[in-house]
Amino acid sequence: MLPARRCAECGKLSVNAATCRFCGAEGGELLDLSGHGRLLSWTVIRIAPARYAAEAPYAVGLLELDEGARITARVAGDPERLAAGQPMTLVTVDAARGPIFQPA
Amino acid sequence: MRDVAIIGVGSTPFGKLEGRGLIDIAVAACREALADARVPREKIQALYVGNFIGERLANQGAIAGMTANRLGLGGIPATKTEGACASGGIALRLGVLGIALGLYDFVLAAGAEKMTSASTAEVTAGLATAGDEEAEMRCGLTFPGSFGIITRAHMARYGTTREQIGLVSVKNHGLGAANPKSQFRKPVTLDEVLRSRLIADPLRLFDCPPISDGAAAVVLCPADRAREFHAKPVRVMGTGHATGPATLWEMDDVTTFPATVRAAREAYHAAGIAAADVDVVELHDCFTTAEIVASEDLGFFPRGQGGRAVEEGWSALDGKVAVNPSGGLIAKGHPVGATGCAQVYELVRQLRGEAANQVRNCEIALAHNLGGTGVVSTVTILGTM
Repeated sequence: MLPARRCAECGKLSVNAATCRFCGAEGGELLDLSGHGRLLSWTVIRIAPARYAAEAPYAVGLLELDEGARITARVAGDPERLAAGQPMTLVTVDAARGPIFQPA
Repeated sequence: MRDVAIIGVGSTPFGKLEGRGLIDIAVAACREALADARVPREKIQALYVGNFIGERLANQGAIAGMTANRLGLGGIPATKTEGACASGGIALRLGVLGIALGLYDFVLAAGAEKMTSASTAEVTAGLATAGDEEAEMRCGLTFPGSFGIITRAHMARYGTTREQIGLVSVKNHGLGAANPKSQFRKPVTLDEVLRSRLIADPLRLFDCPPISDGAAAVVLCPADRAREFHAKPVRVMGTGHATGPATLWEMDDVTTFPATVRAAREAYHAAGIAAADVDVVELHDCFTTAEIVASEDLGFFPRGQGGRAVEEGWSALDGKVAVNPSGGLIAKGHPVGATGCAQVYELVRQLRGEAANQVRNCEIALAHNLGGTGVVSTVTILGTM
């Protein structure tokens, strides 16, 4: 599950954040996101940073989750077959790489 | 606030500068700027040096003090500024403020970076530290990757074509070919750009700047003393320095950088001009798409029209506004900490009428420097005196 915080002041959702990422306010309501959303835009990393060099090519997407939060995350599966608007679902939360999604 | 002028500029060539360290190239650019200004080094009262990643890629920190010592500046205060790829623009801004506020009469602002000693994987990882590690980059995103996502969003939202984006590279490589300081001295065709290898889809090799070494420097003084030192001083009409969200997911719209918009608003207001008054601009084309986005954020073209502007020649040397006559970061090279001062080097030479790709009758120039995925930006507006 993906923990998120809905800001009491600006109302925006921040994934995995101790304070609001948009206005800096503390507090707010904690909730678990469903892990479902859609792909807004993406890239395929062909030249990776040294720590992930062996994993390239891989896709990184900008996703909008069903609850309205946005997240930049690794997208597992064939990076050559993605499309804007495609439904996405959370696979796992990796200790190093953070949340990893795949096409639903 | 006092009016500030630029009385000297210097720049090393950009490229692979074999056998010269980070301090060596910073010192070389500063010496050239001091000689250009005909200011004895004893007069300099403060030094600001932009550098992003010397510790990681060149094993060298504390470069401001070391540069001051090597120049023989007599123990003056020296400060390193860091704002990723906007480090040099911040150095210049602090120098301008130091004189405007009356703290100093003569200031040296410089930027330097040494990147070619490291491997591409080390450089890619190092540059990625300008992003927010915990909130975004740890997933494996890179800077070309961030701009790949932005590129696809711009294409989807505005119908910008891959060909229009590629034409930025064609334009800038064509201009860089004639600039003796440029890393790339060869024009490229649109076909070569679109067939170059993919780096971060849909961006390809020729959409990206090279890995570069280089340094640039600027000498500043009060405007009312400028003619004592240079026959063609350049006025600093206004500056802006602003920050913005560091991740793509925090941006309401990834096709615009709020930091650029804010810095430009501040600089235009200070200068008392509008975008339409600018004749020549050096803007932060860290990728082809970044030129399109910045040309919209700075107000030169309407939202979504940056791609069309390149295709129609509006941003060519003889267009509505000449964009990146130096060849930009893409062709001239992008030693990241140096870029902000190197842009001003080019624009001062434009306003003096000494540039390699001279824009005719130019009187007002604008430099735009961007750090990270828009976490910081500086804008500097210059004019003839």
